[in-house]
Amino acid sequence: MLSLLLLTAGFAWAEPDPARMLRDDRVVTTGPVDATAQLGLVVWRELVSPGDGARCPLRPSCSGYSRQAVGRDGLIGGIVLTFDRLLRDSNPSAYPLAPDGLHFSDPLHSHLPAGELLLGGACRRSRADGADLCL
Amino acid sequence: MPLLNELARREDWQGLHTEAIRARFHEALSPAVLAEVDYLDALAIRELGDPQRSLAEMERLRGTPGPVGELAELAIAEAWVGILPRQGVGMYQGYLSERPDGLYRDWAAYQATVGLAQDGYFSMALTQAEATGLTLSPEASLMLTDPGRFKRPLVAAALSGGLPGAGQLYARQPQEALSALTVNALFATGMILAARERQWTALGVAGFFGVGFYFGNIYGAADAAIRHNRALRDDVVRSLDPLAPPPPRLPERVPPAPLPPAPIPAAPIPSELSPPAVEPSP
Repeated sequence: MLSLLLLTAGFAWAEPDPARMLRDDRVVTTGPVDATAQLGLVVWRELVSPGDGARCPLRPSCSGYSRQAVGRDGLIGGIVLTFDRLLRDSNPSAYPLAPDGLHFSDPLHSHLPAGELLLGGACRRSRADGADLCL
Repeated sequence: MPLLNELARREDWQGLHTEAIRARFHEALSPAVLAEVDYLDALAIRELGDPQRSLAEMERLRGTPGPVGELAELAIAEAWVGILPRQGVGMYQGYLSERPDGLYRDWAAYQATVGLAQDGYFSMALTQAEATGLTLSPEASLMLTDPGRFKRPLVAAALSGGLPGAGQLYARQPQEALSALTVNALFATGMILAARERQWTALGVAGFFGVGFYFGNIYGAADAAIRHNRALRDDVVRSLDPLAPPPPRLPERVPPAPLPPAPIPAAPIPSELSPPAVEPSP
């Protein structure tokens, strides 16, 4: 329960900026914590990950997705999306083929920000607007 | 104009654009024909990769009386559907309400219905179809009126909060459910063992990953519900495909009837060419 409260507080802290919710997968860094996380991910991608070869079947790669997620949703939201991605990458054929024909496409913009989704903001807005379901 | 229409029909956009430029410079076009040429050229410009210029041209043509103005209005609505879907649907609805005798009402009604369904506004799509006389197939009607098959993201999240993987199972993603359950069980076991053995570093590492995967699993369940809903939404939109009227086109311009050949008056034969008068022989 305590961790749920902490997570909720984290989402409130990382209130998504509407401009950053546009369909734009550029990596945006907003503060020192995000920048440190981004740096860690770059180190992982450049130094650690090449050790065992390219293993991520999805595109963008898991570390690239993580960088984008931290940039868009803040540190806590980014971490949640990263772990979600790690759980999902065992089932890549559920996604459409990427343009390179070798991987599967799972862009960040097809996933709602963690705070928006789990706190129900996205669904509330859609329903208030008359939608029968939130997409 | 027949050539431009033919090029548009063949989707030869480069040829159409070139021919439109040639026609503007080398032919004396009436304002109505010039508007048609401009409209077809704007379509070509859009397809050749300059949608903003095309949109600006369509905005200019919007006030043109006749089919060109209507087609330009529909092209603007189509462009907006790609940017802000509700805005585009509103434009189609505006066309339907402002042009009771519009030439392309079937197309606008269909696009408005599809646009609403695409965004998840199924009851509104049904009302729109009924209001504009769009006859839905029984299959399409059923899909639009039966939202019970959709999954609620918050229910999925709550289920996965209780038992990792349960929300994914609710959202019909058994493989993801198995993955979430296995990974969370492994890390939970690791955390318990590390705590028993008082291995605090191992507990910290396992705790970080365990908590991360737990919340990732909760988010993943809600996300799986949304993906399930999107797939069903796509089915609904596909069920509307057979109702699509033919895409709007400029009506074929009737060529002017050829004039009857004018009678050629008999020209007087010049005196110098007239045969010399034959002198009667004495």
